[in-house]
Amino acid sequence: MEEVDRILIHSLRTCGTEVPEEVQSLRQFNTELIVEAVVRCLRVINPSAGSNLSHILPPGMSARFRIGTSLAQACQDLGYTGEVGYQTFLYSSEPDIRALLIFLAEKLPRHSHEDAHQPAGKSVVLQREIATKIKQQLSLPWLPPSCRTAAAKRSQSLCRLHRFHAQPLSLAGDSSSKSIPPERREYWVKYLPVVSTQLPHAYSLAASLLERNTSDLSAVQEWEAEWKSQGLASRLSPEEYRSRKRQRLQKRIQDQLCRCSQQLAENHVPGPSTQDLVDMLKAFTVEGAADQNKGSRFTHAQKFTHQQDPQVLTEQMQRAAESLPKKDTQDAQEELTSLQQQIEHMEQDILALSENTKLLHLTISQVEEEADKLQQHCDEKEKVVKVKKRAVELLPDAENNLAKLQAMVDSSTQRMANLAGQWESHRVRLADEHRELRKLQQEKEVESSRWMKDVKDLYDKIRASADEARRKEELYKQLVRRMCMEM
Amino acid sequence: MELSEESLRGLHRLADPAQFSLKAFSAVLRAAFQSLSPEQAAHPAVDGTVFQHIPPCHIKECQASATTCILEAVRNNVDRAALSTFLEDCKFDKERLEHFWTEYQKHRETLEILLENIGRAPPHVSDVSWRLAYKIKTNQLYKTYRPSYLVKLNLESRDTSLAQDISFNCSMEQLQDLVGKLKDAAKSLEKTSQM
Repeated sequence: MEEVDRILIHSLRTCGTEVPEEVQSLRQFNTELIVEAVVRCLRVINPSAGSNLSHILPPGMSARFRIGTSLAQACQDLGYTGEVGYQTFLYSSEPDIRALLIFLAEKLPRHSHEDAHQPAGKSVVLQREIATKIKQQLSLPWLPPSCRTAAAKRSQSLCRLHRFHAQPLSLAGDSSSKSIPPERREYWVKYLPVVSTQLPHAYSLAASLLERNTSDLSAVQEWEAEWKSQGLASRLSPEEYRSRKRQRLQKRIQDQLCRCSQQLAENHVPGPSTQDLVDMLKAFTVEGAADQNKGSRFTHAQKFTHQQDPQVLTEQMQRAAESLPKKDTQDAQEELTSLQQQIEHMEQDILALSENTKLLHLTISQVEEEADKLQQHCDEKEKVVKVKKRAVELLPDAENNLAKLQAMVDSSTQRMANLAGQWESHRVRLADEHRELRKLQQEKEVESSRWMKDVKDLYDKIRASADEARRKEELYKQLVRRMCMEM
Repeated sequence: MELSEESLRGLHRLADPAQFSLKAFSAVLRAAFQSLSPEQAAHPAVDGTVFQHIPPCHIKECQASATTCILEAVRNNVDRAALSTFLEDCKFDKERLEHFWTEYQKHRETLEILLENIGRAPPHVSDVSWRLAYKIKTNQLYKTYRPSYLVKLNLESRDTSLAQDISFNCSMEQLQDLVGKLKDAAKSLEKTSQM
């Protein structure tokens, strides 16, 4: 605050307020001083408004009130947005007064007496023009796009903005000069389009022309500045200076390129391209030394790239041709070995991967089995859980449910007894049947054994009678023979 | 106002009555002005009869020079006295000077607009609407109880169909910061206008 106060007091003094030496801060300002300061400032800022205000505070209360009100009005007219009234001046509070005085001090015209005497510089004029333009545009109200008049459109619309897009133009040069080749002159006469038809839009034409003009001008200025600072000191003619400079630059470029190519050669096997570069560098120096007369950088670069010596070219071709087959076989072998290595790597990878997959399959089957087991387990447990759940559900009404359960158990035992009785009756009947059938079977067995015996007896009889028959047959035969012999 | 050597050469040639008759001069000048007017869709055809004795490369050179001169004059906003002295340095006689000035006055505004329209500008904010939301809680905080402002800036852009509005959400402090910055900007603009 001290600093602010000091600056404020200084600016108040410059606009004519007699602030006593011992007053160092706004706190020490009394009402008379405040009124005087404000009035003086107002007079400087706006002479017509301040002239009818007295800077001396009258003793009468009503007059004081009047002067306070008119001061407040004047401040508001100047655009002070804070609260201000007669009480601000007559019953002042320090922050209010500080704010008001800061506002007034900002409004004070700065160094007006200096500006009036000194001729304005170029930038000051420009800034002032910018200021007036901004002020003018600020005073215009904003209009919606459809309501804009032509003037408002110019300042408020941005619909037709184009980028600053400069393109190179081809312009006819000084055709009366002797050094122009006839081909170029013919081009200028017959084929060069008019400058307005070279570019598609008026704004890019404007941009390109302005750019061209400015770059030409600045190139000239740059050259002049350099010539004045360094060229004259070297005591050479401009042409000599230029060629000297060109040589120096060429040397630097060449050195840089050489260093780079050497670095390349250290790192890699020198290929034909680096050799080309070295050759080119040589050609560059030779040409640069020979080319003493001035030519633009562009023509020089053209020569540099396009007009190579045919001899140099053939040499380059030969070298390339020689290096080609050697390099081919070497390269091929290297490639072959590297490819084989790659294949081996890949095979190993494949083996490892297949083993991995087998392992994974195994683990999958194991996991499936485990999962099955767990599922079974789970089912069992689910059943148990169901039963238990039922039990738990029944628990709350235990007595009722118990009775029900008892009843169920009773009924089931009764049913059980019933069923047992039924079963018993069935069983008796079936057992009887069973017994009878067994008896029948025994009888049948006895009968069959008897039959068997009979059959055996019969069989024996048959055999005995067969034996007898045979004996009787033999006897018959003997008898027949004896009879025959006797006859 | 300064011109490059190339353009000055063209202007000198244009000023020379031995090379360019007054008719030819006015034709070149008209062509130069018309090539810069944006409404001119068709490029001005150079009337052959006026230029019978002049080599075409001179015409092209002079037209380029005249166009550059006009553009530089508009760019530097030169007044009549400055332009007269400049053209007199290029050996323009009174008649040609008068002709140049009248043509220049005729096209001045369109040329100014042409040059003014070179450049870029961010889209203009034409309106703002806002809404106050009271945030009770967030995903992270159980209790926030803070106001949050949803501000939408309406933009005016070169194409109304492309005009996109900017909407954002900010806390009270951020909004205060924004308002303060806007006030600063307005104040500094005002200060610039009072220099």
